[in-house]
Amino acid sequence: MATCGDKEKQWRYVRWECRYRTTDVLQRLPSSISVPFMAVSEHLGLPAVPTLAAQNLWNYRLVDSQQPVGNPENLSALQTFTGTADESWFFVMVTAIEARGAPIITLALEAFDAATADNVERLINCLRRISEHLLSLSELLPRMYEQCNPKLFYHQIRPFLAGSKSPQIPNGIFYENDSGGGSYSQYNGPSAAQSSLWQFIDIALGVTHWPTGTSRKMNRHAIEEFVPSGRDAGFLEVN
Amino acid sequence: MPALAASVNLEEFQVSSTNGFLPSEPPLEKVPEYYDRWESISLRLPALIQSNDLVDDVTQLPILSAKLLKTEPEWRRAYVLLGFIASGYLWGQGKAVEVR
Repeated sequence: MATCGDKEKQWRYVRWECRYRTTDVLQRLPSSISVPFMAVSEHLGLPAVPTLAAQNLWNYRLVDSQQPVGNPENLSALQTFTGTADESWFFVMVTAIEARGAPIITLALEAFDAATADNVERLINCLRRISEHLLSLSELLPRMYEQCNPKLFYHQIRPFLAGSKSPQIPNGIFYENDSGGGSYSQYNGPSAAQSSLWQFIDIALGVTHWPTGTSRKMNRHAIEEFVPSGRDAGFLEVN
Repeated sequence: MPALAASVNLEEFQVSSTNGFLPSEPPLEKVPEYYDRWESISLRLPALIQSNDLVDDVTQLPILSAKLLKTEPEWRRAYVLLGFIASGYLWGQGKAVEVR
């Protein structure tokens, strides 16, 4: 029984449950959220679900403005679902990785130029420096365990990261519009696979991924959908 | 062929040479006053989810126009707020309320 107080509230919960609930999931996003959310998403060129951009790129503050963004200890998440330090650490670790990986972008462009100019020494120097930065990034990820309890993550944080797509909701989520109607949409939730940095590194180094299953061709469109258009996507196309 | 490092203007793509795909400045922590109700819900989001009051708060929220968002940092902050509220609303109910 819902523990919500007065009779009017209880009735509202009953109505919501009878109409829209399937196995603990509300399937309809009310217009008070969906209408502005879709407008904001359209402006940014992103789907109307939390993405890596919402969770990690635009969701941090610096503890000390004089210290680097690449130190996760110097970051704190602006917004979480659980209010736990674990969730904040989970978000800002990815933020720190993105920051530490930044120099790779310019180095990769210089490497391209060196290869084009047939300057082997300069190319090797660029690739060596890129590998040093990649090693620095690989040292960060295991630190996730320092302040993010795996069980807490799995049971309390992860359920919020489903986006609008889950086996529990075969049709996805119904996004109400401001005319009394709406439509269903299904989008994956936030994932490190949405990182423009790692896609750029893959492009720069010629890394090819094959998903599990019979197909050997990666559908980049599925990933590019989550890269803000008009900026990152254009940058990836140039390269 | 022009050198890539010199010819590609990272700023044109809102890519930072120091912060990569993170914004060049730390994210905004507050949207304009018109959107205070989004900020208020977001600030209390974990507590609202725990007490199962988020559905009520969202139900009582008016539809605020996105047209008063002016700068890119403001659009991004709005995206963060609405994304968290949306997911909290959709996925935060099962714990507190039994399915009938």
